[in-house]
Amino acid sequence: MTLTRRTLLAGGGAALALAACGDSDEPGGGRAAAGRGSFPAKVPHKFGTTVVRVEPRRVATYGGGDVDTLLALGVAPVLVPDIDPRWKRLGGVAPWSRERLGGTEPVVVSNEQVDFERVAEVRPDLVTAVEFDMKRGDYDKLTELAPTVAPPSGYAPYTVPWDVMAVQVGAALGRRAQARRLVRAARSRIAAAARANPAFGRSRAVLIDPDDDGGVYIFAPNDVRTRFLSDLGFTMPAAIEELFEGQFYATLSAERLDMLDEADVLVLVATREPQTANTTGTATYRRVRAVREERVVRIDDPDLAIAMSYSSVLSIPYQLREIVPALRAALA
Amino acid sequence: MRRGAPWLLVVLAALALVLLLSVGVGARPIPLGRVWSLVWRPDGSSDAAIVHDLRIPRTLLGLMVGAALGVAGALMQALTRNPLADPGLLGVNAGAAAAVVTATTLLGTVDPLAYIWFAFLGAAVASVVVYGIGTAGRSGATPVRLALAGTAVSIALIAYVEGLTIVDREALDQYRFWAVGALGGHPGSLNAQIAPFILAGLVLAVALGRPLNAIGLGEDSGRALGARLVRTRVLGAVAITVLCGAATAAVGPIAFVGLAVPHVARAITGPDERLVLPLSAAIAPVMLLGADVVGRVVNRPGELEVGIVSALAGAPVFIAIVRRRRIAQL
Repeated sequence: MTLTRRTLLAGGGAALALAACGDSDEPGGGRAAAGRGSFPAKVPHKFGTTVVRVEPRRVATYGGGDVDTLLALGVAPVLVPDIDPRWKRLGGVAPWSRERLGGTEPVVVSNEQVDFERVAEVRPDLVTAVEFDMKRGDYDKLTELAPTVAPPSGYAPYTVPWDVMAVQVGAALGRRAQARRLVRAARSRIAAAARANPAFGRSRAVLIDPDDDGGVYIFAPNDVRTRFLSDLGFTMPAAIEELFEGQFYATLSAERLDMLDEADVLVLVATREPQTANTTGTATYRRVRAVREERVVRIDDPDLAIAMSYSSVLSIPYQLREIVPALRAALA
Repeated sequence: MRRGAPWLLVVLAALALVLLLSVGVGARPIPLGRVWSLVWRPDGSSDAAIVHDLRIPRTLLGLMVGAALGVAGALMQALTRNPLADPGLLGVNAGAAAAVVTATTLLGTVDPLAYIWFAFLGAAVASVVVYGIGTAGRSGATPVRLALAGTAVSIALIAYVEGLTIVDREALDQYRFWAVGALGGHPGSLNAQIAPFILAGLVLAVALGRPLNAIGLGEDSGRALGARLVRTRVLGAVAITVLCGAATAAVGPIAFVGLAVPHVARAITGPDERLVLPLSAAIAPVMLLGADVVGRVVNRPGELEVGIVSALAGAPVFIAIVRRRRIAQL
């Protein structure tokens, strides 16, 4: 019953850290043009503070959402983690980010553990691993190869929110101000979608992902998936909200799918078989109110499911484009 | 028989109790009295759907799969005269897993009811290959040769499975679903699909009790007593493949049931296979469904899969058996 990182990656955490940074450009940062950062850049993180002295030209990354974030900031990484095997044919990055590679081809490595030899081979001058469960030992060794930026302190592994991540990666590139502009742009897109669909704000939604024995995984309010829905205005049924006990997910047995009855709309991750068929085939699933009322948004596209569990400034426009019309139709 | 009779009653009572518990207890608390009346008079409520569509089919599945695993384990241990034989040993689990990921990789996602047949086929092919390697050469199918052949084939198949799941996401999903045995969440038609195989395998296995006793005396004595060694071994292998294949295909690999239950049965009856086999068929569902019921209540409102609970609960039981008395000789 272990969750794989690949499809059920944790997200979450509040955006408080970002808010605390304030929105004004840092002194001396000025109006750094895209592609030109201000250096030396100091980046505090869970293992200390890393100083990046000169503009990085060869950036290696082990972080899932880091890849999108680097590309959004105009930097094509030279080494990226293997998020989905299908993406190797796209150059190792998400379909919505592919054109930003500009024809370059990063080395794609397994993200189960750090492969120091592969990292050394690409001769990086910066390593980022914000959306990655980096250990102290990994950090120490990577630092010998290049300045290395770890997740900010205060977050469990894989729970750095996309906006905090954007600023962390931006800071490593000496481009905090540019990163903040990207965050503001993504937030305003979400806010616009919420404004255009006032029904979202009056509705309760739960994202469910079929587990291995007829039940479902559900995700805590601070998980990246649930946070995306609440940013759009949806609330989580109170009975569901109480189930998490500090974990980013919980499971509901097939016998307890009735707890989903409070939801006005369900978002069903339907990318894994036979799990999806087994869960949706149970008598209790068919009795859930939103299922009877045909208010289920089914996510069949694995890219969309990954986008929702690795949110980034680049995946959010993609998520909005794919899922908002479906949510609106389900509530109509 | 006299020695086993009172124990047999205890085992049957335990089986009846665990069957009732399995229908009465679940992630959703429903008063036992209400469950009892819903069993006979379903009222269209969601509680009735839980009892009739989830708990009763799940209980029957556990009964069948448990009996199949227990008897297959007893057969394996008797045939190979190896007290540590279990469905993992003869390559059955690995064969089923390899077939599932192969089918997924070649054909894309397979219908949940169709992939059971691939798993079944894989279990059968792996068993035949293991038996073929184990019996090749002049010395014939000694227990050690069979165990070595099973281990070698399993390791090769698992390497193949891991390789495929690295490159194919869908294969990984199906394998993940598979690698943890669960009684819950299966399509309603699963029981009817595997029942004929498990019944046939059980009948065949019980019929082998007497010739297995002769084999248990050693090859030479057995031959002197008229045991038809080759025929018994082949029929035994067929029964094991059918039972393990169907059980593993249906719910995934489940550890310890096939290994530990025959030891409990032998501790009760002594080494007479005519008693050990049917007793294993009755004890194994007690263990499997008992573990399943525990898994339903320890993680409310979620559940813990039976494969995890039975491994956690089975290990201490097995250690206790090994420590308490000499393992009944095979």
